Amino acid sequence: MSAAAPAGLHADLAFVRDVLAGEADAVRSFVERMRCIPRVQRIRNEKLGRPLAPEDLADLAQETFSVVWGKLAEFRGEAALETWVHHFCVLSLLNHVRRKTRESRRREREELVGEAPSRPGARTFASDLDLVHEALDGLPPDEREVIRLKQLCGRSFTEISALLGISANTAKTRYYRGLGVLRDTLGKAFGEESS
Amino acid sequence: MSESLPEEELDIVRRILTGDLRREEEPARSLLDRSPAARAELEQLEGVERRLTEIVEETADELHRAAAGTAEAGAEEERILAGFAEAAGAAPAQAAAPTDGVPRLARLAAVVTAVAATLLAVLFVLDRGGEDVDPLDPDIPLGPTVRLDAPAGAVPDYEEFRWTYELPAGGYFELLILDARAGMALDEVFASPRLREPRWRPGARLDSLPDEIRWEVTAFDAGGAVLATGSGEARRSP
Repeated sequence: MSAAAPAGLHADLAFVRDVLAGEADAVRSFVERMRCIPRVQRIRNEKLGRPLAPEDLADLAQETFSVVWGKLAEFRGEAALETWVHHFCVLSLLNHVRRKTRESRRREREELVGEAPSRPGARTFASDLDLVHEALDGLPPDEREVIRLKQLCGRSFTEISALLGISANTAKTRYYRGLGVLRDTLGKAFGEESS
Repeated sequence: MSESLPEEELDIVRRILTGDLRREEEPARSLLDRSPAARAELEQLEGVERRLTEIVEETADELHRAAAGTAEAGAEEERILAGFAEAAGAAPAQAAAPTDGVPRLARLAAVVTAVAATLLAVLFVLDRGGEDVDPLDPDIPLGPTVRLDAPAGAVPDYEEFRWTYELPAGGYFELLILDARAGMALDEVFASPRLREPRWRPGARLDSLPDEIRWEVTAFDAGGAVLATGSGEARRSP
């Protein structure tokens, strides 16, 4: 068993360290907790009007688990494990829906004679909040980390400063800069101001 | 970031947003009273914060519902978990009964070996792919990337689209071009047929492409399975 997580970090950090160390009980418990992956994706799929069939969702859950498993060493304990995993659930689902949309468009084109024109107006995204998820993921890493900690994990700038080993002022500058990039990205995506 | 505001005014907006200065305090109050641009800047960024807050609320709601379980969860979910366990190199709790005759120590050794092998593989992939990641690509953090070479950023025109990815035999690419101009909601303006080479020239289509684009390339294997994706942005700047 690993030592408890450092002050200010979620207890799940110690748990994840046990998983990464290959402790059998921790790995089994981890797998059990990842039940949230298919459930969140099923909920999200419902919200989107069921673009994915049950068999697609099962494949997607496996794919998402692989992503989570591969990135587990990056978990830093700023939030509960499931909160961290949720982001991957959403992005994986969006990627999957997007691929499926592309594939169906490709089939439509192939059914037509010659090279049919594209369908202007067809959007590749699912919802406004999905766009926010994607825009957040597209931020430069420094800004993304500060915004994630501040907004998604509810950390103060003092805590962020300590967690990242930067001054509070630098954290604030990155936060402001990141919000500006998000504003520009979302404004473009929504075709309006993001306010 | 707004380029129309002087630096000192941007700094005041920054201090309001980060909680160092309240709106009713000077110099915030007088700036917001006299400058519509500063008010707009602040309102837009607070709008982004509200969207982020919505994500937090949505995440909490979905995790709460997931924890409560759903009526559909059942045998299918157990099959999915068994797949997870296999991927993690361990059996889930409910499937851990030693029915296969494998001694516990041997199973534990297998778990440790599998975890170590997986971690080594992940570290290798991360190390190899890290420098290729386009920070603007929303797909990138979840899988292998197609590296987009050109066009990128401001270019005179989109003479040729080029990217780097080594396809397996029978594999192919698809190129998607989206309208990234403000107000166009990333509408699709071109979707390619299957491409065997990592390049495409718009030719006669050049004039129909908008001045700001997002373009995405997806690599497929011979069976149509997605291997990697990449996306980037470019704009005409004569």
